[in-house]
Amino acid sequence: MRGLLRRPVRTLLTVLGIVVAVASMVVFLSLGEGFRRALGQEVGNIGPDIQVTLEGSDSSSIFGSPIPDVPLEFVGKLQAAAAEFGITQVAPYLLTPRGSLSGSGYLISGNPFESIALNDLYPSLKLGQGRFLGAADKTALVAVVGSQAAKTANLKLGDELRLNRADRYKVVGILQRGDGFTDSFIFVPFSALQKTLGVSDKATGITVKLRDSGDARKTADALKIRFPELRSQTQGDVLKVLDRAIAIGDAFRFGISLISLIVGGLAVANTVMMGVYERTREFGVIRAIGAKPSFVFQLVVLESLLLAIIGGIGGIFIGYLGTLAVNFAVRDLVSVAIAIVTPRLALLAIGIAAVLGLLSGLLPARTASRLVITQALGRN
Amino acid sequence: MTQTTTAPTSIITPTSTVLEARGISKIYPSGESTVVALRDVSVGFEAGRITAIVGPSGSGKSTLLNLLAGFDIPSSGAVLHLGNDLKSMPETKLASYRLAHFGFVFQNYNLVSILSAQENVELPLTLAGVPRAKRSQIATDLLKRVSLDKRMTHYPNQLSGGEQQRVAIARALATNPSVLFADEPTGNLDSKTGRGILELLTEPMAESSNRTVILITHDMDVASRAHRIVNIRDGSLEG
Repeated sequence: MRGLLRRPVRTLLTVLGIVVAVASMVVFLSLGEGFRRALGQEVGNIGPDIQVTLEGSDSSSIFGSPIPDVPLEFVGKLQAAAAEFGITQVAPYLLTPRGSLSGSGYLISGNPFESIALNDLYPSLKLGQGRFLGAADKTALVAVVGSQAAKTANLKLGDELRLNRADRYKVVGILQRGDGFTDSFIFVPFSALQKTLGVSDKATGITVKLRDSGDARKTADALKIRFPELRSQTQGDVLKVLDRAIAIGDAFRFGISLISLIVGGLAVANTVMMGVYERTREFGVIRAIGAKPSFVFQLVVLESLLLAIIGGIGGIFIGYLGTLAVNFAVRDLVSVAIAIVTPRLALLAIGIAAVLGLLSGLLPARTASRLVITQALGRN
Repeated sequence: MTQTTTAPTSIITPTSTVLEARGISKIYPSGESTVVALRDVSVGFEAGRITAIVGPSGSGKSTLLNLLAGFDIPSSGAVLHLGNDLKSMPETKLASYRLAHFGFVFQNYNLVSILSAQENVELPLTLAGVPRAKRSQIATDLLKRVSLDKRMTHYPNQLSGGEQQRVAIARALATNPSVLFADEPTGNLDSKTGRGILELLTEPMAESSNRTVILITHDMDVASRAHRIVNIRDGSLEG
């Protein structure tokens, strides 16, 4: 440590380089952690144990294809097989996006509220104003609006939401602000939305609720055999898909932050190498006294490691402040904390900083450990 | 990070040869030709005796010390310490061997600038894996013996040249080596301070434990403190 403090300004600047590199990585990857947690909570909140979409349809959306393509006859077929598969509830749904979900858009969700309650689908939702939708609203043009969607579409209780030239949905309820994507949902009756969208015999997907949620995986596999044209996904499957998508995003963001990490690593290598050159005589003395080359090697690597880990800890702290700033900036747009520094991310950042320190120290350490004693001491 | 040392097992008796150079030469490449820095030197150093190696600048004194101390390997010949050929030892073993058997005092002190006087003295003990309490005690005792017990926490840049050299002597003696090398130990000091340093090196510490002291100097006044003087000129021993 005292070796590093010999040139405090240079050491400080190097540490700052690592701090910036790690902080940018933390902020980038915290977005993935935030998405992972938010989506995980959302999917976990969805009542149905199994979500059925059409096999081979667009799999880019976890909820199914953007264009409804699941024939409604499967609702009847699944109901007919209910006893055999332990199914307690089968319900089709329509889902259609309006605008961009990055702040200016929302999702219209059509559900058969005559047979399924909104809290069966999303147990955590709470009504803020007005009322929920019920059996009497089967074909009525009424809507219950999420808090964020209400803000985005500028809707108040009693206002009308226009979904095509003819159909205007009256806002009869506004949900309390949650902390999830359902804040950007607008719920309308399934039959009404069918008419609005002009799809009479298709749905985006079908939700299936089981007597025993623990059987979801087994039942989904059995459904796949019985209905090979359908894709049955459990909440776990959906999470896996999400996780894969987020992992791809993580890899992309990590790739970007890798550039700054490499620059930070080179700064550490430069500082440690300069330190080695400046202390050539001292390393020579230590070697002359009787230190093994491996001791000098470890000493230099340790310094490099220390530098990087201090920078890593600072980077996590600054990165954490960065995530607070990101969340503050987008709070009104997406209504969820999209950037989260999880223990896993903090450990990853420290680990990467350590690996960076280790790699950066290798060349200087090799140079220091291979010094010729007589040359280092200026004795020849 | 400590390293273990090989403890000396041989019994050293006064007048027995501890360190020996047998026909050693050192040839350096210089462009397309070569420079012979040392030519077929044979000399032995006995336990409990101070030997001064004297000669003018460029005579090969430092090269001889480099080879005797195991800093460098001879182009031909052998250096034997207690019968062990230093040339045959791999680098790591040689490092441990130096740590266990040799102590060094250099002309320009060569203290580690980021370590205090006490930490400098403890350095070889740390490398040897001596427990903290014991090495602290040894360092304190040695610094007391060189009258620096009130300067233990001072760093090299806070010490005078003479004080730094006294710290260097204490460091060299920390592992109680059988051979103490001193290369122009008074070269950078005024005559009064130099005399004090020589006294420390030659009496009573150096003679109290059958330690072999090898003094490299060009100063005959310094050499006169030795039991024996070896003259070197143009890479060869004289007389």
